[in-house]
Amino acid sequence: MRTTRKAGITFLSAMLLAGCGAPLDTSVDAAAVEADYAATYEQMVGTIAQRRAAEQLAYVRFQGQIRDCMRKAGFNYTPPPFFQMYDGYEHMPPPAEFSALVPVHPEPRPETGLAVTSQRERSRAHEARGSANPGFERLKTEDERRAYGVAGEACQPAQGTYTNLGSSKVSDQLQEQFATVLESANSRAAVKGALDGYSACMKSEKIPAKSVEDLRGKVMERFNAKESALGAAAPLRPGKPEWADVVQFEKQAAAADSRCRAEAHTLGMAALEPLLRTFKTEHASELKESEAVWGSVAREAAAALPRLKELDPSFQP
Amino acid sequence: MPSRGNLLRNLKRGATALCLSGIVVIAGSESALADCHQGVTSGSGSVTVGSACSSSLPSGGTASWNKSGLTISIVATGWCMSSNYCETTWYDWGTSSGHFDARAIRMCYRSASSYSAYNQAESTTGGRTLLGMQKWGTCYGVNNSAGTCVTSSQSISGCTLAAVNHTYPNTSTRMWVRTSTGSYQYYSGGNVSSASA
Repeated sequence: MRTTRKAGITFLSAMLLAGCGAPLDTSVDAAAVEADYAATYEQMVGTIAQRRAAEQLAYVRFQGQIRDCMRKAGFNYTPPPFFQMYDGYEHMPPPAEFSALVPVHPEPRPETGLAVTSQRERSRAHEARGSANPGFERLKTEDERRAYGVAGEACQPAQGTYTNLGSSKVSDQLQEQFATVLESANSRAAVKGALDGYSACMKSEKIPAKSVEDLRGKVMERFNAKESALGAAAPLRPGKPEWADVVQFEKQAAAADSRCRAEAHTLGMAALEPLLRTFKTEHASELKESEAVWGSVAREAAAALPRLKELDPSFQP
Repeated sequence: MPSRGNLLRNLKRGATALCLSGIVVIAGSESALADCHQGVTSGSGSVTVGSACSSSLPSGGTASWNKSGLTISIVATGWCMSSNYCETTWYDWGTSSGHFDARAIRMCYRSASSYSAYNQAESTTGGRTLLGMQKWGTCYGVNNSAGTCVTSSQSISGCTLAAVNHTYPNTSTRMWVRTSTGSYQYYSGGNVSSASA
């Protein structure tokens, strides 16, 4: 109780200082704050290496359970290839709603949420690999295939065994409290003032958007419109002019965003710096606890690597 | 004794009250969509879209959800689907900061009628408060490509549900797929509070 009250009072002091007109220290090293922000956030939600490991472990648990169960039921099951969703990521993208705190890059990057085309390209490449399952495909009759399907349904693993690996209650609590910090920094008068100019700036760049999150939606809308126009008979693929159009649009969007959000981001980092310092001090033990959960997932994934290679012989770490 | 989260929220309100000079604004950023449907905290329904073997065997999807317990159940059903076509059912919660992270079931297996992998509670919310239904609907189309979508009619009068779109790739949202070759795929969708395409 005493610790909580003390932490609350310290936090209140920081909030008051941050929110009631204390001047922003714009001499802070924005890049250093951004790195500190990313590192702190990743203590809660995992580093990219840990997230990659969690994806691998989820695959092993999900596909391994189905394959073993199907084997016991007398069926041959070949798992589809593993897909690593975090290829191309350097850091976990931060919450997009605090747009002044989202990193600024002149090129499309996963960290800004503006990597729609590159991620869909990887998705299309994965899809093109197919999901060959000879144990099913050699079945000739509808009855045989139905029996295979019934066994497959019965072999579904319990969700808690493979979903939300690395997540924890302490991480949930930290993220909830951290959101308050981020909201406070993002809504500082100076930061908000800079963000208020974003829409007009993007309009002048001829890519109207209300926020970077909205901008990501615009890129997705453009992709979906091109896809829908082509229709099911000729899906949108890399190499087609429509694909190149969306790639070009996303590049222009990222460049315009970096120009229109630069000032707000610099001010946002200045606003975040003292709050982040306080948060890290007050939540040091919880951050370590959350980090430890992610560490244990990564270790378990490393131990399961031979099993992953067995389930997907094409797997490349 | 208030929890630390509640204490901090109360302190934040206090900070807001102390800063009425207008120098600072600490306010929620709930989107119109989340506001619009946050009252739909529980429900169930079905939509019909896509192929049918007969009028009594239509393809489509069902969903039921309950904020109490954070449970949802979604099913995609495909009867007599064309080759390489799938039925996909999406559900997404509205949250205090917009939306959660959609969950989807994609059914591409032509020798069975349904797939209902998601029927449990959310064990973790990334610190977000789930409010009510923000999106639910079903689409029929080529896997990961264009398709026809129908959103639930179970909506507050005057509100438009967030759209579902069949082009949304199965690798970027939490999705369970029953493939056309009788195998299964699970995509985590990444972290709920991170922006991912």
